[in-house]
Amino acid sequence: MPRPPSPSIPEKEFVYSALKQGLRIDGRLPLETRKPVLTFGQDLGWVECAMGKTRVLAQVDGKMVKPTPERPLEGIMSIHSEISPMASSDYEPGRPSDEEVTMTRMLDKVLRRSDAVDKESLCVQAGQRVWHIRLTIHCLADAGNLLDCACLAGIVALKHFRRPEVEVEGDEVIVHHPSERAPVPLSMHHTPYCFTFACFPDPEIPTIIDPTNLEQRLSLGLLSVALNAQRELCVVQKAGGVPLSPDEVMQMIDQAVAKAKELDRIVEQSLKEDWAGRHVEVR
Amino acid sequence: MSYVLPGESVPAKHVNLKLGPGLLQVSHVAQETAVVSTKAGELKHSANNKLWWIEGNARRYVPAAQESVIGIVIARSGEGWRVDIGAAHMASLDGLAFEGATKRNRLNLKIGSLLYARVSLAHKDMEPELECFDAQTRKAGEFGELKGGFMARCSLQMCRHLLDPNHFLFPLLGSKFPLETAIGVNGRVWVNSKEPKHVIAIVRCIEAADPDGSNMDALQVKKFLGTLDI
Amino acid sequence: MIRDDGRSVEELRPITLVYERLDRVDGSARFGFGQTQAVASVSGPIEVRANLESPSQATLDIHIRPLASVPGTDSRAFATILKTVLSPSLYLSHHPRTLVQLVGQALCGSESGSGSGTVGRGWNSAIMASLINACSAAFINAGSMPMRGVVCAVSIGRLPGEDDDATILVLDPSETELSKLRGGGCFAFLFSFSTSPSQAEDDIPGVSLLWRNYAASDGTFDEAEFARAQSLACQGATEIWKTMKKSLEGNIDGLLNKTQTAKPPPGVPIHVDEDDDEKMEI
Repeated sequence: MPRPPSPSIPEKEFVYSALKQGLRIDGRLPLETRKPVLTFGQDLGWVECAMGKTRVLAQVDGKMVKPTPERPLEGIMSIHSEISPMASSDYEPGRPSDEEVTMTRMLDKVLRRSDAVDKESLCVQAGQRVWHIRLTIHCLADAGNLLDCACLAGIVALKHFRRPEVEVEGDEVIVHHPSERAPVPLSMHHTPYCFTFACFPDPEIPTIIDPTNLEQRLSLGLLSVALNAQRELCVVQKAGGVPLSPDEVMQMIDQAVAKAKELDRIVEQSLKEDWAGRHVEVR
Repeated sequence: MSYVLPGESVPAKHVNLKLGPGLLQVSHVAQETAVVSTKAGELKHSANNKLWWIEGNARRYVPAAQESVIGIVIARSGEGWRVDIGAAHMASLDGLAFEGATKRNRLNLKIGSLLYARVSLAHKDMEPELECFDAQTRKAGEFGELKGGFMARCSLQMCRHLLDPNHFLFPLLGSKFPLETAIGVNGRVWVNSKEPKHVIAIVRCIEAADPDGSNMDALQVKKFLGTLDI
Repeated sequence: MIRDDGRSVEELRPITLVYERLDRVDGSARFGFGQTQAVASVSGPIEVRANLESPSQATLDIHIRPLASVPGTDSRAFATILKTVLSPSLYLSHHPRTLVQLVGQALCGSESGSGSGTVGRGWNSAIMASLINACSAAFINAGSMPMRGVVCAVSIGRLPGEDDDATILVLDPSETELSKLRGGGCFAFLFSFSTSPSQAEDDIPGVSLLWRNYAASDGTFDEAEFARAQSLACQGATEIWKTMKKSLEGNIDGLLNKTQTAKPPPGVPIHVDEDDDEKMEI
């Protein structure tokens, strides 16, 4: 028996026929995303991102470690993203689902390998001490498009995080408590965002962005584009499904560019508001 | 109104006491039997104090005999079908559990079909069973396959609200456009209307009125409906 | 003043209890003592995999997740404890051959620092108590598993007193107090009329102690101290039970958009004196 059971025939037919008229069950337009809601925690680097009913919590922490011998001048970044049954009882614990594998790979490409964080700036003492930045992604609820929500939560958490100021005097490393010296944000090269499109086999059905759980399951192929507001592409991923023409892919990328600019404004605004709301005492 | 948590003693007393959902009779060695709550919610009783139950909300359906549910046909099994009704176990539906079905004349249901059916057997140690005819008359009545339309999902309490003829939602929607519905008490409501935008409006209003969703009252739903394109 | 935040020894930090309504589980809740918060979700009774199936009762499957990194041995150990703590509160035999799946997620760091519970390792008592309460609240929210009663938990800390031998017991030690503690532990109680048939005043059902991990990290303690700790914990747990009861009115009868209006964003301090709490893991 498949788990979860696939949507019923009436659900499928209705979603298709409504989409042909450009209508979605939650009232959105085909190319309308759910507006993300960012909630910041008391600790820096603690962010909850909600896109509709999809919710992801991201947390960043840092500690000092010895660098790898191959890269003595670079800090280390690791990402943990396990989908627990809290996201949905359909996810079986202990057995990585396809979604989890896809998400882990995409998070790695979008957040780590895209060089979003300047790894060299995480070096404290060459070959001796570097920062190890650890990002943990917790999927609280999967109501569709968990990937985009997780990428957004992750990147915002990295931007929100600040590490303690460090001073090197000879061989000695002094870590300043946040109350002594203001902690410093991670140095970032750019801010990539991920957008997922769902495609359908019927040419009359338009491509949609940010699919809900039902739409995602009824679609025949997802295409995820990760890029920054400066129109620089990081990842384009399409794992099977309906074949697309280059034009169609280009159109989606253009859409994603516009969305990235809009999202970047929202993110910068929320970060600014949160920062203004907390006063960090520097003695 | 009184709310109870699980494990509270409830003052239910009647010579012919009947306990509904959420209540259980327990006996202690030293004491006489007592009635305790097993779920959280509002303690309710009938006017004559004979029937007592707890009105709470839930999302997960636990089958009970004679309830009407909406199921999805998952697989064929022998002479019948396996049907998902949102409970822990698949329900089974016999091929002959339809009005007028005989060994020769049998309904053909596709995998993925939606059904409006009645739970004919529910026991914790057995698989639930469904039938698509009325228990007394053996007529199909409103039971059978649901074609077209859309299936909305809501909380179990919302289903019970919708079954109440005095609930505001369907009369309100019906005053704007014609609609068809079938309400299963397992958290599934099948709705149909001519225009897809009307179906979408119904689905969104059910979610808006759901105590587990936006929990809007009649006035708020009316206002919300006004903002939709219908 | 004995405590940093000005609380009396028998005062809890402000309690947060929010029904999160996570979309694809049957029940969920967030519980917190001050900033020591946890969220839990429950699904069940649902279909069970053959290897977990039990013919006579529902299988309780528990996963505990720390805020940072992936669950380790300490999380699994705590999940095993939680199973013994929560099982008596549920009528698992009412739904044989099914699965009840519980996920507990810490929303703050769980290191015990030094002093509370197992020293320096494992989960600290305050976050354990938060998780237990979040799980209970998630079961209440789900409404689909019959319950014998409600489990409420609190932590107790042992603070050094004026002269060296005296120990002061404090209810719900905060994160800043952890480093000063000389031990303590988490106490979990079952509030149920059916297991302890007495109903005290205020309609609070009978209480029985389910589990505790009280220990001294420095020296020993006697029976009298343990009795004092237990009665202080029971007092705190009763307060939590009352909070849970109060939460029903908003949840079931329904205030509009409860999650939006009543939900303080997890990070926003509920009371004011948080500035010195700004912590960072190094």
